[in-house]
Amino acid sequence: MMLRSKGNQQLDEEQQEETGVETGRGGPKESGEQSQWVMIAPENALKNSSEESPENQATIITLRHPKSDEGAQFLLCPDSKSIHEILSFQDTKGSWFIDNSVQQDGRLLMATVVDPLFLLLPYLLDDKNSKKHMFMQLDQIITDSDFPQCNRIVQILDHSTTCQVCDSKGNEDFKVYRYNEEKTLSWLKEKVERTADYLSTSDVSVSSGQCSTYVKSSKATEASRGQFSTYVKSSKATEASRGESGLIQPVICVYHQVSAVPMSKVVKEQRPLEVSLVIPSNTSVSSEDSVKYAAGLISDYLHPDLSKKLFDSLGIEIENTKGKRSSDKQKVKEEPPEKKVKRSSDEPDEDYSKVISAPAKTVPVVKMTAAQKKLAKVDKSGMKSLMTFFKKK
Amino acid sequence: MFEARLQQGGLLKKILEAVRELVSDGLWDCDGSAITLQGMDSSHVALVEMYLRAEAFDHYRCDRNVSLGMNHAHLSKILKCANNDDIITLKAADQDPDTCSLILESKGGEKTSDFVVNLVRIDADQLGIPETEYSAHIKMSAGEFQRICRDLSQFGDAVQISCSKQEVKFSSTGETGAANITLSHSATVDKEEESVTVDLKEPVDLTFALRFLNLFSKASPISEMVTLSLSQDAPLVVEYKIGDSGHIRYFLAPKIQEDE
Repeated sequence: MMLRSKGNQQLDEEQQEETGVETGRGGPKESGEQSQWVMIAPENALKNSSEESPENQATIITLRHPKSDEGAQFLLCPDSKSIHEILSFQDTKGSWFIDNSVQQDGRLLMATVVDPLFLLLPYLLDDKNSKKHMFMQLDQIITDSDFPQCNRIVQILDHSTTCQVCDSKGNEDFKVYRYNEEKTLSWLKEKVERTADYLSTSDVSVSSGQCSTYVKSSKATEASRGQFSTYVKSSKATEASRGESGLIQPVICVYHQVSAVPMSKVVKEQRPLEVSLVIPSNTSVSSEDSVKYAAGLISDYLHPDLSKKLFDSLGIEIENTKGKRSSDKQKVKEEPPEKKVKRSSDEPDEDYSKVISAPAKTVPVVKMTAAQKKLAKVDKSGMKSLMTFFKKK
Repeated sequence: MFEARLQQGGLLKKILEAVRELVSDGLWDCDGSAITLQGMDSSHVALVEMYLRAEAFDHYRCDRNVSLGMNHAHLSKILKCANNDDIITLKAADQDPDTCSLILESKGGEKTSDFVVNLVRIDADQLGIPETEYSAHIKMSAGEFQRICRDLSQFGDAVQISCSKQEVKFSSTGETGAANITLSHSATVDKEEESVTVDLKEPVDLTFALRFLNLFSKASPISEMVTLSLSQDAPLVVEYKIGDSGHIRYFLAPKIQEDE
C-alpha cells in the first residue's frame, strides 16, 4: 500500500473528513533507538516545525490523560496552538518500508486534534488540590509532578477558550480562573450536540448494538473498485505509558485509495481494526442514538465522575458496565474462531454501546399473584427443594 | 398441527384455576396421547403435575409433540370469557409455535369467540417423578380437606399430619394455642364422598406449610375426592383425579426439623 501525503486536513473539531498521511522521520525522539515512525498527522501541525526555535517546534510530550489519569502522549504544536492526541494502531504482524529502509515497528501512529480544555479539566477537578475553590493563574492550576511537561498546555490555552469552563477575574496582564461546573457541562453538552448532529448526517452507524467498526460495504463487494472508509474506533494503546487510549476527535476516517487490490487482501491488512460493515447511510438513525453515541465519544476524554454528570444532564442512563462487559466476554468466547482472529489480541477498550444503555429489551416482568406473594412469605425453614427428592428428566 | 376440542370447557377453567397461582408460567407439553403440565413454585418446594389424556377431549389431534409455554395470567383472562358449558378448542402450529389460539363456542353454537395467546419461553427443568410406594394413603372428601386446611391455618402456619392405625390427625399450634382435627377411617358404602379411607403400611408423622395446602385445595372443584400420600421424610402428594382421564398431583416438601 502506498502512503502518500495528501494534505488538506480540515481541523474542524467535529468534522474530519480526510486525513493527510505523513511519513515522518523523527517522531518521538526521546525514546530509545528507534528514530522514525509512521504517523498520520494534519499537515499544518508539522509545518514550519523544523526551522523554528525549539520552543516552537512541534513536540511529543507526555501528559495526564483526562479519563484514565495515566500518562499518554500528545503532539503539541505551539504554532497552530493545537494539541493532538497520538493513537497507535498495531497490526499483529507488519513492518514499514520507508524509502530504502525497513522499519520493524509496524505501528501506525495517528495524531488527531484534541480540545486542550479536556486536558485542563483534570487539574481543575483535582480533589487533592485544596485551593480548588480559589481563583488562580493557569500556570498555578496546571502543576503536576508526575508529568512536568503539563505546563506547556498553558501555551495553547487562550483566555476565551478557558472561560468556557472557568470563571475568570483580573485584567489583561493578570488573569485568574476558577472551575465552573455549570459552564463546563453546557460546554460539553454543546460538544455532544455538535457531534450528534454530525453523526446523524454521517455514515457512521450509531445503532445501539454497535460495538465494532465498519467498512463501507454496499460497494465493497466490488473489490476492484474498492474504496473503503475505515472507521478507526479503537486502537488499544500498545505502549504501556499511554494507558488507556481514546480518540482525540470523535471520528477519524481514513480513506485508503486502493486500486485493484483484491478485497480479501485489504481486509487482511486491516485485521486488528475491528472491521465489519457500515450500514448504508440511508439507514435511519434516531437522534437519540446519535446523542448517546456522541456522549460516549466525548466521555472518553472525561473523568468518569464528570462523564456521569454529563450523562445525567443529558438524561442518558448509564448501565452497569461491569456486568455487560463480562457478558460481552462470554459472547466473545462463543464467537466462531475466525472472528476471533480478526480481533486484536486486546479487547477493545472503548465500546460506547456498553457505557450507554441500549434501549432496554423488554424483559417481561414476572408479576406475582397475591397468592404467590403470600407463598413467598411462608416460613420454609426445614423444607428442602423438591430437586433433592426428584431427579431432572 | 395440534388441535384439541374440549366439550366441557369448564374443566379447563378449573384446571387453570388449580395451577395458576402456584405456577405463573407453565409449559403445556402435548403429545399424541396426552397433555401434561409440570411446574414448581418460585421457591421450588412445591410442584404441580397435571396430566390430561387425549380421551378427555372429543377431538384430539397432535401430529408432532409441541410444548406450549403459557402465561397463566393471560390464559386465565381468556378463559374468564368462557362459560362453563362452552366448547373450548386449542390450536397451535406444529413447529415451535409462537402463539396458541383458543376458540370458545357456546353450547348452542350461536356465539364463537376466538383468541390468540402469545406463548412465552420457559426454561424450566422438568423433574422426573418416580412411581414410589407410600407408607400411607388417605382418601377423603376434597371439600373436607379444604375445610381442614382453612380452619387450621387460623391457628398456625404449619400442620402436623400424623397417621396411625385407622385414623389421621391434623394438628396445628400457634400463638393462640393448638388445634387438632382427627378423622377416623369410615368407609361408608352409600355416600362415597363422605367416607375417609386410611390405608396405612407404616405410621407417619410429618409437618407441612399450610399455605401451600390451602393453595392445593383450590383444585377441589375438579374432583370430589382427594388422596393424600405420605412417606416419612418424603414429599406429600395431594392428588385430584380429573374424571377417568387424568389427574392433578401436587407435591410438597415436608418441614424437617434438623437436630443440632
